[in-house]
Amino acid sequence: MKMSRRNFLKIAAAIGASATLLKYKLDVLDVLREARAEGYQLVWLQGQGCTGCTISLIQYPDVLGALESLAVNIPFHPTIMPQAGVYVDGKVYPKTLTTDAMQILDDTIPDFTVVEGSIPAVMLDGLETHFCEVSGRSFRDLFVDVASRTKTGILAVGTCASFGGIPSGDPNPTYAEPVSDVLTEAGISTPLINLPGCPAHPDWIVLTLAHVIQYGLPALDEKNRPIDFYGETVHNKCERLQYYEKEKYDKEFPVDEKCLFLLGCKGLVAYADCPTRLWNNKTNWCVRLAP
Amino acid sequence: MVTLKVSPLTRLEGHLSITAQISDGVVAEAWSHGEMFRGIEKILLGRDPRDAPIITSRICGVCHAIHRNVSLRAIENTSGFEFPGLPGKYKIPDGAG
Repeated sequence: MKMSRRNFLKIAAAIGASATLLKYKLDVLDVLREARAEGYQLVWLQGQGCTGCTISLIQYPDVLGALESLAVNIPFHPTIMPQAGVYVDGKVYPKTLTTDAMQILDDTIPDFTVVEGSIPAVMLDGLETHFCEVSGRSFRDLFVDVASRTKTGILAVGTCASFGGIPSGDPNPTYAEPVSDVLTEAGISTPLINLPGCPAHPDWIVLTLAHVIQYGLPALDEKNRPIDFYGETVHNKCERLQYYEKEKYDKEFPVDEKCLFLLGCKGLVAYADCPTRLWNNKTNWCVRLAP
Repeated sequence: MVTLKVSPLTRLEGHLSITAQISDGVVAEAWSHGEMFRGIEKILLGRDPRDAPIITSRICGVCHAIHRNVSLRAIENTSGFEFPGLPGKYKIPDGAG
């Protein structure tokens, strides 16, 4: 049975990818080869991150359908790809390309590179290893290598990739840097889109990809964030803005559902559309969760 | 003696590799390599303890709840203070974490 890519993705979604892989192993290999030859190639790299942004993305309703309608293939993603790097006495085993993750990465000329997590220094004097590496290669060198052959755009997903995030917190033990700094140092001018958030909202990732594919780069602010998503502070559209304006604040837990500013809410300085977009498939957001 | 190396080991959170030495079909020695370091412990030093659960939960985006809970427990153990409200309700029982 020869399966089209569309059918494969439908079946994979319906009965779970692992069952499909067992049942249609040979067909799946064909499909993966076809998929690699058509559509947009997206490489997802993980630096000093926590995989939270990946978890956020794969909770997008019908993420397979969305990626398929955009003709986006993900040949390399450490958390979801079936291939790994298996070596016996230093040689790839078995000797087929589909089993070697690093070979797939090296063979791919990505249209999009997504980075999750910040990027540490290559290696410090006196240390024998990198702060972050993939199959023995320094993540910083690996990222520069992939970024330099990326054709369309680089997406820094999450606060760590966009601005450094928690790994770059004082005293920044690993000299972690955001993607933008590394691109500047490496002299790479591929367009960069920052999608900060901890994690980034799945809508921001999928809709940004859709915008770039269909209309080109979205309008960006001075920090390379899409204005559509990050144009206003959370505070400006907060459902409890009226309490702030009347100076009615919650001062202790449990809260009385007034303004949470005095309890540490950062909505006044955080730019995002959470109050209108909501989270977890439009069910809730942090302000309503305060106990 | 055959050396088997799995690097990268995909389909899990984080950067992991496994090396195993196999002799006559039996694993003689094996090593696991954590290939990413952020120094969260060093970043926590000198901060307000109330920041700790927020930062600690970013160790892993898949199992963030357990890291947050354990951080809350560490604050309780060192201060003698018990968290009221939600964090207390979700506290894990002794030995389960």
